[in-house]
Amino acid sequence: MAKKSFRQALNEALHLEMARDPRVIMMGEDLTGGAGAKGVKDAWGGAFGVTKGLLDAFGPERIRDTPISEAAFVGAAAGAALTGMRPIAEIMFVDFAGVCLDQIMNQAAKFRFMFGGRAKTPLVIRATYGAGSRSGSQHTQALYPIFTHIPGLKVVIPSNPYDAKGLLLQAIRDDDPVIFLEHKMLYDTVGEVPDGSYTIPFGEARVVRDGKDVMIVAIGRMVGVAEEAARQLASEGISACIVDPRTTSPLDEDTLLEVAEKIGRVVIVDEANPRCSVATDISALLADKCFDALKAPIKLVTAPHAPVPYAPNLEDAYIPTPEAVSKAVKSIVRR
Amino acid sequence: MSGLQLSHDKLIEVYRTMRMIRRFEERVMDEMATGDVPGNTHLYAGQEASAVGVCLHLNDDDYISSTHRGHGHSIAKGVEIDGMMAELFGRATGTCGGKGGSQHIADLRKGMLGANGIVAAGAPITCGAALSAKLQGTNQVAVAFAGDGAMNEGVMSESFNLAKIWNLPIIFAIEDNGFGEATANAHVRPAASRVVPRAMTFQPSRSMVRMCLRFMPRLARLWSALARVVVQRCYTSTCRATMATTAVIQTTIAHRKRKRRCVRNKIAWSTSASASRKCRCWILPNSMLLIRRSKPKLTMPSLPRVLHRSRGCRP
Repeated sequence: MAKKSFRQALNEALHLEMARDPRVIMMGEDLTGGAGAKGVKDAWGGAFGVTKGLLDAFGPERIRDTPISEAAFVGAAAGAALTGMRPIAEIMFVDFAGVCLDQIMNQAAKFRFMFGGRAKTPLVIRATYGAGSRSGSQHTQALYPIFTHIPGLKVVIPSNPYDAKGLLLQAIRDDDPVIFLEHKMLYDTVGEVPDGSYTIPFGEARVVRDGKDVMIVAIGRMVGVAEEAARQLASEGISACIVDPRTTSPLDEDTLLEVAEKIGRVVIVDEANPRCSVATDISALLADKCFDALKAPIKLVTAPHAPVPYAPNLEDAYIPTPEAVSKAVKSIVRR
Repeated sequence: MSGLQLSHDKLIEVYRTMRMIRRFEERVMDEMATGDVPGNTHLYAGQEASAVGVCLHLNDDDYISSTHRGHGHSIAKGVEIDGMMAELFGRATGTCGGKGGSQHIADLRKGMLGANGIVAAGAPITCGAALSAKLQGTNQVAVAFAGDGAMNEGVMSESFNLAKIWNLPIIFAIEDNGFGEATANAHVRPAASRVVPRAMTFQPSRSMVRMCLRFMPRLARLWSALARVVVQRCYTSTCRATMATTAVIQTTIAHRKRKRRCVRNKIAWSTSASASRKCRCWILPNSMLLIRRSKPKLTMPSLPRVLHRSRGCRP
C-alpha cells in the first residue's frame, strides 16, 4: 500500500466520490482560492490544500467558492441535501460554526426527525479543529462536544490517513448530516492508504494497540499522543491498550465497555475543554454500565477549562501531552 | 384589473383556497381556546392572499419554504389539510407523524420544505433547493417566504447575495405585516430604511438579466405573473386571526360575480369587518427580473386606490 498524507487521503476520497456520484457538490470559502482574480485559478485548494485539483476535474458548478457567509452556504447545502443533492460544505475553521450554528443545529440536524422521517439530509460539513498552530483562541477550538450533544448529527474525528479516507467516503454516502472534523496538525502525517474506494462504518471504534494494564481512550490527534505515551509506558513495563472511538456520535459503546470490563483501568485523553465533554461522557458511560469491573477511578487528561492561548509555551502547556497521559496512567496502575 | 389574467374558474379556486386557510385558522383558534391543540401556534389568518397569490403560479414540484406562521403557505402549496390538523394535534397521522407540530409542517412531495421556528432560516435552505434544481437541470423554481421581521436577520442579506451571485431560480416573498414578533417595525429600523430598497442592492446587471431570461424562462414567466398578481395587488388586512381579509383578489371576484348572490355574501362578509392593519407582500425576486420593469414600482399604492382601479377594469 502506498504511503499518503492525511491531506492526500482526504483529497483522494473527494475525487473518488465526486467522480462516482454526480450529486456530490462542494461549497465553501476558498475551496479553490483565487476565484475572481486575474490569472489565478485553484491557487489554494482550500486554506489547507485539501481540495486542490478538484476544480479542474469537476468544474466551478460543482466546486463552489462562496462569499464569507457561513450561514448562507451551510444553509444552502442543507437545502440542497433536502432536495436530492449530496453537498459537502467546508467551514474553514470549526470555530466559525458560531455564525451558522442555527443551520446545523436547528435545521439540518432536525429535518429527518421533525418531518416525521420523510426527509433525508445527506450533508457533510467538513471543518478543521484543534490547537497547536499558534492561531489564538478563535481558530483552534475542539468543538466536537457541541455537535455530539445534538441528536441528528453524526460526528466523525479521524486520527490517521487511512481512517480519514474511509470515514470521509462513508460520510458522503451517509443519508444524515455528518460533521467531519480534521485536526489541522494532522494534515502532514503519513500513513498507508489504499488507492481505491473503501468505507469505514460509523460507530465502530478501532483498537489501536492491545494491552492489559490500562485502557486509554483517545480521540483525533490525541490518539498519537496516547501512542507516544504507550511507548514510554511500555519501556517501564506497563502495557496500555488504546481505543479510538473514531466517531463520537454514534459512539461505539460496546467496544468501550468490553475493553473497560476486561482491563478495569481507564484513562481518557481529550483535547476539548473538560466540562460536558466527550471525555466526561465516556467516563459517565463506563461508570454507569461497568462500575463493578473498574479497579480504579477513571482518569481524564484534557485541556484546561480555558480558551486556547496564543503564546507557544502557553499553547504547548494547554494541549494534553504524552507525559501527562503517562502520569495519569501511573496514578491508577501503581496504586 | 386588466393585469390579473386569471380565468373565472381560477379566481374561484383561488378564493376557495383563501377561505380554506381562513376556516382552518379559525378552527385552530377554537381548538387552542379549549386547550385541545397543545403548545403554541401562529395563525396566518389575514395574510391569505399573499400565500395563495404566489403559490397559484407554482407546480407541485416547485419548492417553497415558510415561516413560523406557516399554515397558509402549506395549504396554498397543496399540503393535505387533514394531515396538517392531525399534526397540530400531535397525532401519528399528522403530516410529520406528530413529531413536528405547527412550526415544522413539511411535505417534500408537495415541495414544501418546512415551516420554520427560526426567523429567516428558510431563506438559505431555499437557496439550496434552487441550486439543486439548477444543477439537476430541472425546470423547478423556489420561493422563500419570510416576514418583514426576518429582514433584520443577517442571513437574509447573505441569502439575497448568494441567490444573485449563483443566479438561482428563486424568489423571496417578504410579507410585511408591520411587526416583528410583537414589536412594531418602525421601532426597530431607521425611518429611511425600507424593505425593498435594502433588497434592491442585489439587483443584477443587464447581461445577467438577459442570461436569466434565456436560461430560466420559467422563472421569468413566474416573476411576471407574480409582479402583476402579488406586488401590485395583494393586500390583506392584518396578521391577527380575528380580523378580516380585504384582499384585492376577492374584490375582483366581487366585480365579476356582481350578480351572484352567494359570492356577494362572501364578499360582504369579508369586507364588513374593519381592517386595522395592512399586510403588504413584497416580492423580491432573485433579483434579475426586477429589471424587466423599466421603472420598478415597488412601493405599495394605498388600498383605496387599488380598489378604485379595480372598479375601472373589465373582466
